[in-house]
Amino acid sequence: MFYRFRLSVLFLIILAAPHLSAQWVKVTQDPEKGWRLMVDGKPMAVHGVVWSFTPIGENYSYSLWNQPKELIQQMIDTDAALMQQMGVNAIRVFTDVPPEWITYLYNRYGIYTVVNDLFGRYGLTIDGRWHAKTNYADLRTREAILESLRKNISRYVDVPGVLFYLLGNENNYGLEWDSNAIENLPVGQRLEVRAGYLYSLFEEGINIVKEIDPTKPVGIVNGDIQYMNIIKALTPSLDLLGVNTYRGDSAQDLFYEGVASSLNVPIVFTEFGADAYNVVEEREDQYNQALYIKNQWEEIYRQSYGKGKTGNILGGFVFEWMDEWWKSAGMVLELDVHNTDASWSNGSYAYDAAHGKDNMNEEWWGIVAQSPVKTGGIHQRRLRAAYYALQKVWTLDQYECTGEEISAHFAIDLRPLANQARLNALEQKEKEQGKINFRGKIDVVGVTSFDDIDVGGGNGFDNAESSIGEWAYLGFDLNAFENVDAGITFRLQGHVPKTTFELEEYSRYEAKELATGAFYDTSAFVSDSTQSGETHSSLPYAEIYDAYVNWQTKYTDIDFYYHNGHADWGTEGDYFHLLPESFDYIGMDINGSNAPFGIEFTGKEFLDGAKIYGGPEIYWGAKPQIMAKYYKSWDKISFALMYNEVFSRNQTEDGNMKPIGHGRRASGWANLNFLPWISADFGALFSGMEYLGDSYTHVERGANYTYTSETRNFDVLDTLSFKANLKSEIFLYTRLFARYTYAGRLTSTSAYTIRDGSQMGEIGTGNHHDITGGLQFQFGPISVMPQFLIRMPLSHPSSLADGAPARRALTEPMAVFWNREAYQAELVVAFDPTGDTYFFDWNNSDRENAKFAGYVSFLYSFYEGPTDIWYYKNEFGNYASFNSGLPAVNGLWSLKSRFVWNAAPKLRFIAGVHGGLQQSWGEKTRKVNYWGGSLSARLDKWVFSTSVDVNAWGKADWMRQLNITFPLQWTLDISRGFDIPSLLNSSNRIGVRWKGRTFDEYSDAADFPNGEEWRMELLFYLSMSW
Amino acid sequence: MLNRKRFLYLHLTECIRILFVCIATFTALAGCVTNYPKAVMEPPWVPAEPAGGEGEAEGRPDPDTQVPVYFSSSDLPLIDGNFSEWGGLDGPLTRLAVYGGRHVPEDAEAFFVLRTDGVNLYIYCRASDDITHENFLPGSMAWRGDTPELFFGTALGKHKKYQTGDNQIRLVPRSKENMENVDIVVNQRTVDGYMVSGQEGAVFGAAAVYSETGYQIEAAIPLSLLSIDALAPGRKVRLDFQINDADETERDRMIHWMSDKDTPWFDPSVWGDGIVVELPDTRKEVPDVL
Repeated sequence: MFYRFRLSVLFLIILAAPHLSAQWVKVTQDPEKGWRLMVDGKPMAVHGVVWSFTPIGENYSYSLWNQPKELIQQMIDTDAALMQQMGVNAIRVFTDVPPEWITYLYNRYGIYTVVNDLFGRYGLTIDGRWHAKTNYADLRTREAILESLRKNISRYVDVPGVLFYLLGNENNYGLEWDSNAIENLPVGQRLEVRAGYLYSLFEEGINIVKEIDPTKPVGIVNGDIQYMNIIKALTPSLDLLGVNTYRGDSAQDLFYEGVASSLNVPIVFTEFGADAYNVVEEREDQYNQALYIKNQWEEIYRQSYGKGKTGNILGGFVFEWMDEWWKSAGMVLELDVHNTDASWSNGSYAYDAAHGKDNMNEEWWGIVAQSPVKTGGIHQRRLRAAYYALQKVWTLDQYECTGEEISAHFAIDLRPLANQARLNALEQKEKEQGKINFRGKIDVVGVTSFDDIDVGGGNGFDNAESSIGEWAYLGFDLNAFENVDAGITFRLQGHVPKTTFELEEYSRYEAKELATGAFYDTSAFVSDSTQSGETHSSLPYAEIYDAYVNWQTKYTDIDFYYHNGHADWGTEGDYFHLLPESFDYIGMDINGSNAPFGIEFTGKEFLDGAKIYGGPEIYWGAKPQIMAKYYKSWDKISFALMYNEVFSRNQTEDGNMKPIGHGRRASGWANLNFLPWISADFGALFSGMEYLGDSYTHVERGANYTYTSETRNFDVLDTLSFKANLKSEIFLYTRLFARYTYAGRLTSTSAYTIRDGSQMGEIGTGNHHDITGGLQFQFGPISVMPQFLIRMPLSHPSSLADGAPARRALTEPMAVFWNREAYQAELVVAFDPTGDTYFFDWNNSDRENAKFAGYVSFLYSFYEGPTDIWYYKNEFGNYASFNSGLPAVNGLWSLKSRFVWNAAPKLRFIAGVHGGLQQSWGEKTRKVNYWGGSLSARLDKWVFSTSVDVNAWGKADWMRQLNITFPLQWTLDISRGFDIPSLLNSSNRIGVRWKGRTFDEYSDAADFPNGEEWRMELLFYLSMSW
Repeated sequence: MLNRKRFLYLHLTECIRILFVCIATFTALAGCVTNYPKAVMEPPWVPAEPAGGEGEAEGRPDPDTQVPVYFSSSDLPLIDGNFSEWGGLDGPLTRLAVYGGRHVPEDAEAFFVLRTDGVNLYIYCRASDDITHENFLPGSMAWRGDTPELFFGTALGKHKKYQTGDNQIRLVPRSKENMENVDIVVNQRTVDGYMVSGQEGAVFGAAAVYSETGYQIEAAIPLSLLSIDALAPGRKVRLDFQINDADETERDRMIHWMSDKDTPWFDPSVWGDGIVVELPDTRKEVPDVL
């Protein structure tokens, strides 16, 4: 028994031994037959793939290795099992791969890993400063690259599963830095001189890697076979040449001969392949992808060891394992859309090469496609014909076969493979979509409220009441056509829970106003015995919640939007923000609006740059209107023209609509970058000619701050707005910026969406001119941005002039409120070490991948002038004016901050502190000094979050309009997700929340005069989606 | 009522104070960091200076240069390897080395002449090349070997992507023995003559003849193949010219007429100008190579 046990252990040790130690890998050359890769003395042809794993909805910033260990393992198990079945024996990945996973991949699946250091390919940070263009001539840059290389490679010494090392990724295509020395050279020499710096540094890098790990070969990844003569001269220590090449189905003999005659090293294709989308036929083309990849491998076999040719290729890494859905649309947009636009043309891929058309579809290079449907948190893989083709191809021993065997072996009939793959596609589509895809979501919330209000006085639960609410969302996506996607979601309302916190809970659970259509008609659906004495209402109903259609035609994309979000056109030349974005707040429907509701036409081909968008409510609060835009951009100049026709201008006819905008507007914008270091934007807006000739009361400031009024008529200048921005990076680490705006009295548009942490955005209203300036100091991850604003209305508020009639924003085309006279200064300090997850992106709480990131903004404001009379939406859903405006006020301040700390792979904290001294947004003169803070923590699937606000307004905007504050407000929430829960909303989890507030004389003067009462709620909630 | 002037003064003072604090913070932060002085190493690689090489200054034409495209309805060139019809006509000379060191006329330089009869485009290229190789690469990849290229378009507005009427034309000489073995590659696709057979007035073909100092090619391509409706005197066109030279294996030198970057194949905005003119009655002295 004992011996049997010892033998078993011995047997296991023997079995495991090769897998417990690092391998000795080298390239060897037989003078007659050519080159081979030898692993522990045994020949190995490289049958590899470039492993891509970025899930749908993520982009280049996604790091698998920062995910929970279970997810990493699941991802590897999903892909490696398929690779193993296919015959893959090596993958190529970059140096962020942790060594333990290399060993895992090798031990469990027998797949080797080639570790690739980027060697400054896509820019690098040196001494805190980001350099987008790597200058290989700069000594400090060279030092930093080698330091980084040394650090990276040291992690992989003696790691079982490492096959060899590669440096760079076609860095010869990125030799773009400028310097006087380079510019003084003849044009034809510049690239070569730059290349000399690169390849000499490669030589230094190779020697460092060999010094650290002498057991593995070291190569570079070159873009095709450019600069062979320089490599020969400057990189003599090279063991193998990695080549990224896109030459169609054949690199041609000359390629191999060229390398053989220049360098005495073998080749490994580090990227090659074919994309699976045919731009001519506008469809997935698995057959041609498989055909090209098969032909490429046939050539590799014929050119490899012992075939009588150059014998100098060891194999290759097919680009790539799986489609990546982030490579179009600027790499940050449409991450969940499988884009079919190609980014460059290559005639060597003849199956879809067409004149004037790009045919390289970056999102379609996978030999495996990914599906939106997930299994165990991983997107399902769909095998393409190329997968099956390679599975057959790699069964032949690459080094030991003969030319005849190759001919026989590669006579593969791809049609059945393509058919099999097509069946996979159909099956997958049925699985994920069918012709109609069903999706759903259920939200249930139970609320128990307690309060100590009025009844009995003193402390204690004077009232306690419970209720429940249910919502179901049923969605259908139509996928019956290649070029049309459409979907619709219905919402079914069960009970409405009783809440004592105005609309906040309804908003959070995405409830809109009920049958009355009122915005906050509390009597209709909020039961509050202390206020109305009514019982809880339950109003079941069904409605269309959202809908979309995307129809792609040859020259236009036609999109129908109904309550599903639309981005603004700020980056496409909408300089005056005629079209604001219209996304609901996360987990909250904006005031019951169904915006965006409209149809958009986006031009393609010769219509590229043109857009037309129109509908009943194309953004929140919009009147029926249409917009047209033409945008064009070149290297140094961009321009855009916009036209906007609003079909309703009479506020009294549509009292439920916010009275913004006028009848007709047009704008022009240009961006110029002709001078080095300076970028300039200029724009003009024409708006509001419908009011030309109408009279208004002009209030003017005279000497000694005296004001006089007179009646004037709107003239042409009142319909014009001009704006200019200047930006310069002429100083090291510093971006200077300044903006001047002259906005005529009739030129109101929309406020800008702020995306940089600042609190001082462009207000978008007319009747003022302002100047803003500042600088942004950027040193590595640290950004410090001081800025100022001075703003002056063209016509001052009417209250300043004796005898002037009161001016009401609701009924007059021009007023003073957001555009009041102001002097502001702000300081924004941010720490964001990972630029790929921009800290101020809307979804940063879920995406931030830095260990720590944060920002603080402090704004100091002087409102030198009062305001005119603003308006609000009353309980009947109509707009109404306040009785007076706000007075001038000084010394207001506001502090905002937010911090993200990724303490461990599964543990994330998000915290924020805010405070300030501010005015209301209505007519109340009382200034409010408030502060508060929040903290959220996510541990695996658990989320804990809490917030405290002292002397602050309620969360709804109207509370600030009415200046209703509470001495103390708090929330405490604990939940567990069914998947890794988002920190942006409360979906897909079960949880409990405790919230409450106390009251004083400012909380609601009518109902809470005693000032010592409180109200609390305990909520249980469940949210499930599929 | 407040004393507004004083009020404003106080606030501005406060504003300035805040700005001062901000700037001081910025200065302090800037002062705390360590700056590394720029130090650049000597170039480890400088291309060998060829004998007789010309500099860039001589290489690029005046941007206002207009390449003539000679129009005539008669006396048209025959595509037969006899190049006498091209004698005495002006054309562009590629002298701007984009890749591969300096421009060396005897190593890689091409002289082009363009003609048209309103139905076809006739192209002549005389390439100087001290080491010539027959080009066996597929048409889409033939730029890696010895080939002249012409970029020709009728879309005049500035545009950075090819439009209808913009063309990349590559003439690929395949054989030193058979002068008719020349491929015409239009927009990355090798064109077959049958595509234009039967079209009235259309001529399609090419011929190449090698010599000690290089090779000459003449070609005729129907304008319909180029998506160009017609060419007549006075019509402006856009164009550029390129010679690819492979002395050892694949291309080691690329010389342009106008653009100083390897972008004409996808960006027509870098091309130069041309104009269709009547074929002159009298011609200059015929160059010695002809």
